[in-house]
Amino acid sequence: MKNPDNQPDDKLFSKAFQLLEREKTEEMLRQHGIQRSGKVVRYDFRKKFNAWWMAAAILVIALSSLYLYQQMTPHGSLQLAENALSSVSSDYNFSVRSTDLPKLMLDVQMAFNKKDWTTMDTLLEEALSQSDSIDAQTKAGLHFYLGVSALQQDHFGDAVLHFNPVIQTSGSVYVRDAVWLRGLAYLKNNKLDLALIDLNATAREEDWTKSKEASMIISALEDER
Amino acid sequence: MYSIHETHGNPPKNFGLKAGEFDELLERLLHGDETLFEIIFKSHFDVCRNFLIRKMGADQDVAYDITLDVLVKFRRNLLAGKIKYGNLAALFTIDARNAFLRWSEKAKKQEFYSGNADDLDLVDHVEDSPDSMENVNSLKIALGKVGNDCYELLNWHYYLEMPMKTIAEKRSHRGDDRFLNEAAVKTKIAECRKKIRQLMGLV
Repeated sequence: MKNPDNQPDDKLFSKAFQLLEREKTEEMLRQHGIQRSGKVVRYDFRKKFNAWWMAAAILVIALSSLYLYQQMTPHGSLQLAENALSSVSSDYNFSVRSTDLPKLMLDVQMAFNKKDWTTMDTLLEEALSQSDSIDAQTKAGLHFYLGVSALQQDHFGDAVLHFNPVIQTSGSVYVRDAVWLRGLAYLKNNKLDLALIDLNATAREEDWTKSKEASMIISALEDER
Repeated sequence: MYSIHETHGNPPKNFGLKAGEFDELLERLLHGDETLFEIIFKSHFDVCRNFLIRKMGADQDVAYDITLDVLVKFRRNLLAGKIKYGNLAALFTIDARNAFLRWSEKAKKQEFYSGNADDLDLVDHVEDSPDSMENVNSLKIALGKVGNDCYELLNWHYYLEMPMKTIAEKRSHRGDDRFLNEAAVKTKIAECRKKIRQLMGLV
């Protein structure tokens, strides 16, 4: 508001002084630690403190998102193989298919359940040593579980050696599983061409749940190549 | 050195000051020594704000703003010689209470008409157009540059509404013999206004 003679009028002066006095008073209050609630001015580090909290929260959210992303998105072939191997012991709950070795196999089953692989190996080897008295199917079963035990102990070369006779045993109920697990063992031993043969064979078993897992590993392998 | 004379329970009646101390500090306040003002707000700001929150049901921000406005007004009345030694603390609180009641009344009306009282001014501000606010801001800047002497004169005249005669007396009392009478004060104020106009780019 201006006067005709182009001068600030009295009201304007009064208003300007009111604002200046209010600002001055507020500043004095601040200097004595009196401020609006939620605004700390005497020690002006609260805003910075909040900024640090914000940064920390953003970092935590980012790391959590990254973790979830890694958990939810397809991994490399080795990670997928690792995932598949982690379920082996539950996938192959031990069952006795031979009535010839009831006591021994009962002990093997107990060792398996306790994940006592050393005892299990010893018992299975003992059973195998009696091969004269057991049939080929039972023998294949013993090899299969020796292979499973070897996988659990990360002895992938040994696992392959035990799965081979299983796969060669015509009519064995373990053949399909042995191929799948041998494929994983080859993969872990970095024998990719051999792994691909077994994994492709598994992938073709479309009515089997492992088929999808095998396909994912093959896809990851192809991407990596 | 002045200190607040503590009383137990209730806040000190005159912010803990004796009459002689108050008068001396008031005179010094007029010449820029803020000791009295500091004593007042240190002893009573929180008391008043808490009174508004606990007894009147004001929220934190409203209580702060009203207490601040009352404090500014209280300071102005002190400087203008409109407040004398007495029950100063009670006067301050009563002012705050009345300001809050006025605000509540306005808030109710505002809510009734617009359904929203959030943007309500806490004090009786005159409606400001953007144009006048621009001028006020420009004047504020000019006042910051005009120099202490002019600032004080204009402040006493326009803000404290002090009569020319009183200004002359106060300045003469301080030993400033440039303002022996009202006419001299008037001339000086006119000079200061001219300076302000120049600073605002109006001439």
